[in-house]
Amino acid sequence: MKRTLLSGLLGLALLTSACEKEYLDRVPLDALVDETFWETEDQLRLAANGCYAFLKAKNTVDMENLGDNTLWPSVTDYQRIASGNFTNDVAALNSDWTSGYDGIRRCNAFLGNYGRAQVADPARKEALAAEVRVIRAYLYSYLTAFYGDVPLITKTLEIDDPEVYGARTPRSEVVDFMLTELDEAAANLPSAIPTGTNLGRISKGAALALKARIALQEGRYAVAEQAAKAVMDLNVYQLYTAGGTANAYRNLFTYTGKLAAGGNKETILARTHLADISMHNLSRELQVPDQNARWNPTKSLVDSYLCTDGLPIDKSPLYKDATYADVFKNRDPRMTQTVLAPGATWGGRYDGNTQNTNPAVYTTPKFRSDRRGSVTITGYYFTKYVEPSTVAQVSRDANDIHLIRLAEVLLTYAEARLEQGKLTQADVDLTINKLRQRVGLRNMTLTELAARGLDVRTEIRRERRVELALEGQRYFDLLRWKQGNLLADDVKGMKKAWAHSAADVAGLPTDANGFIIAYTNRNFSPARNYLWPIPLVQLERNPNLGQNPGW
Amino acid sequence: MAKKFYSRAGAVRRVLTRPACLGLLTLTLVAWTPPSLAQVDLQQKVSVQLKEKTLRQVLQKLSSVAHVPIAYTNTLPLDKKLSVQATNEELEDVLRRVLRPLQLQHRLLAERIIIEPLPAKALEPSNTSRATTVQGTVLDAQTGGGLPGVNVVVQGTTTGTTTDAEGRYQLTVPDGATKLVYSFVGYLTQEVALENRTTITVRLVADNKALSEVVVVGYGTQKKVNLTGAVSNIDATDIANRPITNPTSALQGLLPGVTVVNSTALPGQNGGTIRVRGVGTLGDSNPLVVIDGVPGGDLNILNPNDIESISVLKDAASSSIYGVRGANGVVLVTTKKGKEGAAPSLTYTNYIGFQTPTALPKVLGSVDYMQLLNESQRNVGRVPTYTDAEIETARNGSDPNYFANTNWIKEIYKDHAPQQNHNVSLNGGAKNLSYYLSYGHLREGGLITGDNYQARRNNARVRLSTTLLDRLQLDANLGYINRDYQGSSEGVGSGSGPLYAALQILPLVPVRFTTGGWGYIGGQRNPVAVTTDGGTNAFSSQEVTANMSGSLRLFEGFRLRGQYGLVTSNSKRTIFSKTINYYSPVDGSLIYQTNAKNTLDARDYTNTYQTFIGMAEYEKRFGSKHEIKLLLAASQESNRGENFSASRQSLPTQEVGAINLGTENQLNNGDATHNALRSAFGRANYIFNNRYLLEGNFRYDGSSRFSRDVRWNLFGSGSVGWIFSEERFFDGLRNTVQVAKIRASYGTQGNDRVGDDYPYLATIGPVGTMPIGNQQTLGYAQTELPNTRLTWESVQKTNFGIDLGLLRNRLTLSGDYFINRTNDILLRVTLPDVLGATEPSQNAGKVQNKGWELQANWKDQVGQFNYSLTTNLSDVRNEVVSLGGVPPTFGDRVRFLGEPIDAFYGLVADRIAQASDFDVDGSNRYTPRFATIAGDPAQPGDLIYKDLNGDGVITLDQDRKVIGSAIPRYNYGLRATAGWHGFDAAIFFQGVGQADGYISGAARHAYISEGSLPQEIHLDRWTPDNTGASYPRLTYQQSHNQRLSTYWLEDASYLRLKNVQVGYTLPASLTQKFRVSLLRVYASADNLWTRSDFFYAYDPETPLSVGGFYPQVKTVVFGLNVTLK
Repeated sequence: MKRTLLSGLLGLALLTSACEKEYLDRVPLDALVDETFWETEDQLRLAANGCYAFLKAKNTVDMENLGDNTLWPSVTDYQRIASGNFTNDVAALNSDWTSGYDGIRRCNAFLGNYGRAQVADPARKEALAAEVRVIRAYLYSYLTAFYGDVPLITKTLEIDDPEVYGARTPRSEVVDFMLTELDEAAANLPSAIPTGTNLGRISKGAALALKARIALQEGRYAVAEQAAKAVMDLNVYQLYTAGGTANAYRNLFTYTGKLAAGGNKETILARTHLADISMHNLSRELQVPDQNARWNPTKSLVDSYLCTDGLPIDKSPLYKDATYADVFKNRDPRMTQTVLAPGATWGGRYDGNTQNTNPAVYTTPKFRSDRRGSVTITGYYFTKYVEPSTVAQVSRDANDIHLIRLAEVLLTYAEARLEQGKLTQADVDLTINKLRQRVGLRNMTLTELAARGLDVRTEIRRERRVELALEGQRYFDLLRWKQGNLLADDVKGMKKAWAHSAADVAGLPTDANGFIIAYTNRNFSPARNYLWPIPLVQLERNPNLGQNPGW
Repeated sequence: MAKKFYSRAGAVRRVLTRPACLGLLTLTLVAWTPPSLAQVDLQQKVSVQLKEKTLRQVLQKLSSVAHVPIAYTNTLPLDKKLSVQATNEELEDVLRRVLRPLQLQHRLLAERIIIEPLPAKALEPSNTSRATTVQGTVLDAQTGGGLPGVNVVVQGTTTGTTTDAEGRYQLTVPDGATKLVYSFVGYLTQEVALENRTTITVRLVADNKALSEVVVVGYGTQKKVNLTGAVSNIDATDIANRPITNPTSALQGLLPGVTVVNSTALPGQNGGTIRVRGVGTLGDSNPLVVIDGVPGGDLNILNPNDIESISVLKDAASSSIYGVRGANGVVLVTTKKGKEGAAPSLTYTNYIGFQTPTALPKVLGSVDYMQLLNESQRNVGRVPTYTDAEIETARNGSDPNYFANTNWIKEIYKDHAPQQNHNVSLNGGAKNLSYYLSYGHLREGGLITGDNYQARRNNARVRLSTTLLDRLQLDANLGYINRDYQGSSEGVGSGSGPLYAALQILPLVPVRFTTGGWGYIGGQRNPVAVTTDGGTNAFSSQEVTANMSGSLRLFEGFRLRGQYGLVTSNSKRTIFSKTINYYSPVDGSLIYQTNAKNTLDARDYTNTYQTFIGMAEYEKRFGSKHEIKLLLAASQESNRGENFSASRQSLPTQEVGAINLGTENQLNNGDATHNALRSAFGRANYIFNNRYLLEGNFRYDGSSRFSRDVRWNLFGSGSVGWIFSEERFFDGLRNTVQVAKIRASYGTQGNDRVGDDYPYLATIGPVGTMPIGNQQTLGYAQTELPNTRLTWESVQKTNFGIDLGLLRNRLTLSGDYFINRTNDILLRVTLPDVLGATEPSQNAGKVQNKGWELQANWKDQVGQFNYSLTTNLSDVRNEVVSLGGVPPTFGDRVRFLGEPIDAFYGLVADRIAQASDFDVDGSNRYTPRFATIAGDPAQPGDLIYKDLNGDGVITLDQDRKVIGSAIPRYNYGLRATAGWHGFDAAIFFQGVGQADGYISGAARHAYISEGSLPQEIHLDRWTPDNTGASYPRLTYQQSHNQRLSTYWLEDASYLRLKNVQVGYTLPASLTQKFRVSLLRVYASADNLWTRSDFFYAYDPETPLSVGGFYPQVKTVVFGLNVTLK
């Protein structure tokens, strides 16, 4: 008895040397180790899927706040940037930088490792790599647009790599890289629109369309033209027309236009969403029923829509502005499919007319914050991108965010041709007029423009603004066109006199013509505001980055 | 002089006969056995052969042979020579045989054998002519029971007696005597003036705080007088009868160098944070908690009533034996144990009471809200939202649906929350056996509207100890905890949850519309609806702590010990997020909905921790002057956790929450983690001549968290002590100072808690991504960078200390000075974000903590009045010494060289600008004459910031500096107890002398966003008519005045009446006929009063916050203690 006890305790005491040798070798129980990953096609697909997380979702639309199409009722970082009154510590400056490079790292990790995998058909792994290349170029395109020169990182960095503290790469070099990468990607991607379990994946069209966008942004018009034409020549994309001229354009931005609905052959790249799984709050923000609508169309946007005769409002005899409702009459049909018109159904509930007892129909703008209906600060609301069924609920909107669609490619082609001095009526018919025909607007004719004394460039740019309103492109267009001065203008709304109740707008300041001034004291310094400053945090961590001019 | 008792110090040295013997006892029972519970077996067989030895030698021999402490005083004829021969005789018989001839007797008391004169013969009344007889009883002040064997002596004479079995005595006192002196081993000596009384009843106070005390140290125990490290300890009486729900809170203010911050009273989740000697690392700074020898326990869920003692090991000498994880200090908890041979004792204690918040915000009503909103909008050139007519509507209450006037703080909080606690314990023992059984039940109610917030905890503990074959001691200690707590489906926290929503919702919103439905008019969700109908988040957990150990004495002075510890938990969380519909009061249509599809989310967590420890110990005394103790041990521990969760949506009911009822979106998830540690360690002690102390420790640790090449590391410490009061030169002082000791220690320790189990491995795991193929899609990616060279943090700790026992040890003083330097801190060195991933931890930083600690205790008895005073004060200065050469982080909290960790970094606010600080042009435009930040619309009423670099503009990168630190300094505590007859009282103050706090966002400011609403303090905002305002002008949706600046830093120092309690123990004479040996009723209150300059709406211990935390509470309870014997 004693002996047994004794040896037992001795054993216990010596336990650590007696036990299995691998006691301290503990491998993860719920993760894979880098060395054993990157081997199969399934693993590659999973890793590529992870890169899609960095396609911008509603943030794409949020970037509209950087431009002059909409006004947010409270101060946001993008609004501060747009107003010119900001310093390099604004959080959004840093978060766009950080999220960009987070995504780039993930892409770099894929591209640095995918070659290790044994895949029966090498084309399949090259196609996955091509998808990732497109995502990486997409991320760089925002970095260059915001900051100009940026560090070009193309490998998975270790903490002691010199690139971590490297200087910035000239913008043109980054652009060259993106364009080359997109060419390579396009060569390895299928041209058909992905369907079924691949629905939403990047295809050849996305690579080329992104190339066209970047080339245009950088003023490489020949490249832009060629890339846009290549997309058009794929012959797999067509404008969305379901619902007819009166509805097709708007329908594209509702659930009926979702990729998963099957009818949309126009969208080339979308950040898809899925009910209960991946949702956002855009529809509610556009017409939030009990507070200020977060998205308030500006006078500048509303005024940019042509009249049905093809003339701008300051030239067209069809334009009347005696009442609020007049403004919406005889206009480019895209206007009422973008900006909410009286008589339209909406989700904003009780409007500015206390006699209107039908909360489902909008008649007049509401300025009074009584929490019973959506309040506007400009007198206008958006209807584009509103999926009415989701307005009453917070973050239950599963609408796709359309990142690149054929319409943009057509506009890019037209602009690229124009800027090279090569725009023909045939080009206009192939592009602008296709967009106009979809909504039933009179065709653009170069001769007519000339006869009416209208500037072709202005009209092409107007077409782009109108077609792509609320899609996050306007700010970049303004930068490209060197029209930053527009951002310094006061942001205005409707004419105060149109209000249903004068008392509701009594306190609002107006300009000389009686239009509401919703935001003032803006400025734009051409010497510095065409680029964002390098974020304070990044500059502190790596002074080698240097600062942009004027900051 | 024969009856004159030696000073306490003398007694201390002699009570426990041979120190080696004590050492053996304590060390052999150690870690899992409080030393006071050693067993004395008078029936054990002993053999001795002694010839012509002094009585002193005989007693020493018997003590060593029988392994029992034998206590005696120097008044005995110790030098009397005698011979003893015994072979396998019962100890009791041998003693009797030795003592009788000397007119002495032995007695078992307090686990010791006491040798004393035979009362009747030794203490004859003196033959004075006029003598009076005094009689009375001597009682234990704590238990009220009679104390037998107490020496009662007429002061200044040798006349005296001892008390009988019931504590009674009778003594003839000579004329002219003024005082009687009552003395007894283990109790404070008391002098009582006669004042012509003939009956004197005395209560003696146990002297368990004297330096003779034995304290639990790492893997053993040590006599406090022989300690060379910095160890603080408390015992059960220090925390008894307080309405604390967890032992962590109980430690606050009681121990110098131990900082506890209690920020919330959220039911079931109110454990505070403990920091031992400051924040030593930039990572996990929690000390290692060791419960009954098993590391890694959860102090927060232990039943406070089960705790016998808590030791905190603060310096390297005391804690380096824990090597890894001991770097932040070690908290050793010992639970209660039965007494061998003791009669069963059944104790029931309870309390019932309630909690109220210590501080709450005072918000303004609708009219003020609307008027001030308009003002804030006018101030920034915007159109005022509300017309006078609307403000009038709110004022007259004519539209209770859209212009209500709700005080949401009042609505979301209840007046008070109930709290109750019940404990039953049984302890006792038989021959070779002791047992302790306890059951505790704690119930906490919530302060939040709705019935969601509550917590329950059941603790059961069984402890059995037995001795086999005289050599083997076995101890089994099983704890079982069954606890649950719940709250709303939305959690509470900074910037989230219903309490935050209550700060953000407009007073215009009614709780309910007149139609009966939940009120909602946009903006914030209705917090009362959320806490009432929004669903629940229920957590329940069953935890078992099992601890088995054996100790085998192989031969004289050598024993082997083995221990197995298990902590396993099985927890479940069920979150039922219910749909709340809000209907228009006008047309009944749905205007808002939260959780459109109700969701049931069930999560399961299991965790198992196991450890084996094997130890060998040897101790021996050589000659009369050398003592050694050696310990060599090895241990391993492993931990494994697994989590599983599943959820479904669209349950057709809001009543029953079960996963099988869900009809849509069946999702599931799981993850797991594990780690292991293996160690060899040892300790050597050497004591020379009872006064020179030497100790060395080593520990060799290997952790699975590091790669193989850098996995193992050696840590060690050395310490010395000198009890200079034992020296001859001290003799003259000894009447005043009984014990004086200085000590010094130095050592290193490691820390492997890097927050990740595989920081050296590049792992790839699932990440969320965009849905591809119109279905939920997963991606795989690496999200954190590995660092293969990552290894231990190491802390160098240096400590100097002094301990004094004065005035018959009634006053004990202790002081420490320390320098802790943490090197190779595991630090996420921020890198440029082109890296694209979370930076890995690197061994980069160095942090230094320097500080001092003082403790003074006083305990005495004056007549029937006994009292004690315990105070402590400590300071620690934290300083970042190195950040590994990388640039410091910027932001509101920074890590700068030479500054405390996470110091506040902000602008220096000068004052509020007045119109006279501006140039005014014709169109009433104000241009500041002071420096401003570009883009700030500076106007009269805004803050003026100081231009620190003098360049004429304020920029965030040039004009900020370190303006404060949240790390508390000058922690202090003052505890006083008093007893008089059956009454007892205790009062405990605790506080922090210096700390900064920061309350921001909606909790502090008005109108900087839609959800930051005005409070009463905002009425004193700057306006042209109120230029002496305390708050800047109100600026709608602008926060240029609210940047972190000195203006908003709060003074978080405080003085708090942490606990006050009064009790009354019914006289034993009354209760004993019902076999009740103790019956005490009491009232106790925690946090009753707080003095602080902190922001009025929050407790000074509130973490940095924008609001939303569950508040700290005052608790008042009434309770009962009953012991049946």
